[in-house]
Amino acid sequence: MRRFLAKALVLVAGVGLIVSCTSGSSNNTSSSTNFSGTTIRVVTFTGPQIAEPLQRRAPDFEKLTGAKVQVITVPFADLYQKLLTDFATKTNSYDATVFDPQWMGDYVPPGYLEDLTDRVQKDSSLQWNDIAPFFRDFSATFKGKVYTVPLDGDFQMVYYRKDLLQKDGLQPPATWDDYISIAKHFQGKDLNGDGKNDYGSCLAMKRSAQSYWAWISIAAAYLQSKGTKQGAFFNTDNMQPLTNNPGAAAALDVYKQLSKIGPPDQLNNDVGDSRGLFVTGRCALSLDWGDIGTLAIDPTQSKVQDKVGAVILPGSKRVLDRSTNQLADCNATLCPNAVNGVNHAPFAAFGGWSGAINKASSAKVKDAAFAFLSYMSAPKQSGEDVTIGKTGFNPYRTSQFTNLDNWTKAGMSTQAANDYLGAIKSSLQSPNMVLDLRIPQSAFYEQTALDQALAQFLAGEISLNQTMTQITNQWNSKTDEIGRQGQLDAYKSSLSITK
Amino acid sequence: MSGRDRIVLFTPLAILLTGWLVLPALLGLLATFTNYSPFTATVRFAGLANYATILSDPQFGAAARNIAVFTVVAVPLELVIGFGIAYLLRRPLRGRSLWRMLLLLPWLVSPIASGVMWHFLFGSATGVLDFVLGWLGQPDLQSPAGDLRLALPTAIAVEVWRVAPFVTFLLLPSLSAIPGERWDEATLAGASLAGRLVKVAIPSVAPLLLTITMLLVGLAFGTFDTVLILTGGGPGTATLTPALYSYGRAFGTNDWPVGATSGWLIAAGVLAAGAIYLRLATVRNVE
Repeated sequence: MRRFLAKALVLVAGVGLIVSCTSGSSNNTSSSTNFSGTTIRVVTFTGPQIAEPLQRRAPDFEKLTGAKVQVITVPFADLYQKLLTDFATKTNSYDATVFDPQWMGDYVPPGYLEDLTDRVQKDSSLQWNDIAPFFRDFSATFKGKVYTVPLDGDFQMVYYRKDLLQKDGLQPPATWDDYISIAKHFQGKDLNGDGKNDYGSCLAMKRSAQSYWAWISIAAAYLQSKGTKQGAFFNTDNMQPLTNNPGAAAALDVYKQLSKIGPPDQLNNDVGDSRGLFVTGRCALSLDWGDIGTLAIDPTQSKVQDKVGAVILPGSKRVLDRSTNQLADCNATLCPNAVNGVNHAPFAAFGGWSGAINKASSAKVKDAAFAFLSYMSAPKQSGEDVTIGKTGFNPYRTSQFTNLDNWTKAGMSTQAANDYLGAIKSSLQSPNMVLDLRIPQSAFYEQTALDQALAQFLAGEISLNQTMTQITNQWNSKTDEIGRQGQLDAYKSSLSITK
Repeated sequence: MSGRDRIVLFTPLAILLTGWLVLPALLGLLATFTNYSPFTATVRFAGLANYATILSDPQFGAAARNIAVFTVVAVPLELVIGFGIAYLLRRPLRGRSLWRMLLLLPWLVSPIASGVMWHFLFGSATGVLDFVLGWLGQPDLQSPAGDLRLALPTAIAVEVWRVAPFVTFLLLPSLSAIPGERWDEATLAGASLAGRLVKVAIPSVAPLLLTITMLLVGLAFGTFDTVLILTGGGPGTATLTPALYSYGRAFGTNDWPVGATSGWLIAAGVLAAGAIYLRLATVRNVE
């Protein structure tokens, strides 16, 4: 049997080599090819999330292809710089990276990343079309070309305590007004039977953390209504920020209200704190990536197993009419994607960890690196990985929410899996999904300017109008410093706007 | 020791300091007058533009105010508490070695670990303090680290908790070495506790106190790790420090020139404190 397998492997490898020789190095690289003697250096952040599945599956991939995968980890705060320095100085210490696709705006224009357009189409084992259209067409794509292989489906959803809402005859929130109303209803009540007063909503609002994404999740409903290409951050005609208008004001108002309906020290809570509170049964509502879904089924820490529902991010019945710069009621023209008159704009915050390849690596290593990324993303491997909390990977493929087996094996009841995956499905299928910012120095726009202003606003240091003015001025100043036209081109490219 | 011996002994240190401190620091200083970053295609002279950017940034203004308050409050508290504990431990007592070891623990805990620990200790709903309150049937308390008015005092308290025992550790040998007769003489002369401290203890450790003060001021100016974890500089700008600001600009948003410039402004503050220390030490030596 072994001899037969060895012969089969040699045959497959031989066929693979012939195919690759006849059709060029960019074709048909898959995990069935023989890459003996090749080492792929993959850099990502110090996990354990994200690095864990890469490290766990590297030996299997080596057995399959002969390629050795060396996973190099660096702290998240250093990853962007390490990569950029490595590319810019032509050191080329890394052949591939699993990184934040927001950085494509800095890495693609100088030509640091390999164009994967042909490879993803020709690699049947990757099953490219199984990847949800948003991640395929927007998240992995820059200027119409594919540069990354998605490994994670990051977008935010609202989680709610199904048992509590059912008991009180409440529906899950469809709008942000609903969210506030439900949060107020449960604030101060004992929600987990421990005799202590609990909280209506738990959000991360700490400065210098990941809080600003929550505000964008709220604002998106008011700012983007005509599909992903409309964009939620800037006007695509002139690169003017969409941060000083009645839509942004409405979102700030919601955000401020939510800061007062939750744990007393919500302003100092990071996502780890809000997740901990939710899965210990202390909150009726929360807003998070897919992580709460998998944490809630973990018997070692969850007190809310089978009590959690998830829905697409709440929306708004009034959205910003960009022609008048005023809020207006949704209608067929203004909100073509509205559901029951509510504009939902699910936000792909961060965008999901994705694999990319260094263009400067040798052809054989690039083939091997692509084969590894393809192997990691292939339905069999990724279908398991997205059900495991410690991987940090969330669903992004159609097969991952149509096949419930992996979820029930991981400990979710069929009902819970349907709820969780239903929210994911409705987000992924929304034509109005919001792409996170992907322009040069996006980190300044979000992590510095937006984060600072939101922290000051919540703390009461600046008013709502001052907050909008501060964000807008800082964004405009940075845009002018880098070059308005260049930033506009980059923004439109990220949205795959070709004209 | 001959001059040659001094040169031989000093040379390894000089090589290390020149290669890994002085030169990088000077390069950093030069960078503050340019738009340099590791991935800038063309380095341009920027004059004082980076300094103007920082000094006109309200965030840096808030950070400078916070660190001034932090230093003025934390350093005296660390000195007084550290000195007080050292005074109590100066005489042989049962378990003194154990007390000494326990006192060093806060200092041995890394600032990051200290920040994590206090973040969770203070945290409502997840904190140990609130667990105790819940056990007693009391509602959750808001974490002082999340309160706009209490966040800076909380950060100061955590730093004092960490550093004061270190002051004790440094002062204890000197206080223990004061001959018993001197305490007895002061007592016989009718000196009160305050009198004994002023006439016996403080003069004996004054040069050391001056050095420790300089060290603490330098530490305070560079306050970073604990606050980063404890509050991230918030709520608002309540606990933002120049080092946090510098880190955020250099590593959060890759604005190296501004990050390096604010780093040099912190260094300038430390150098000014060092100059004052040298002046005071010189005056004292002359006296």
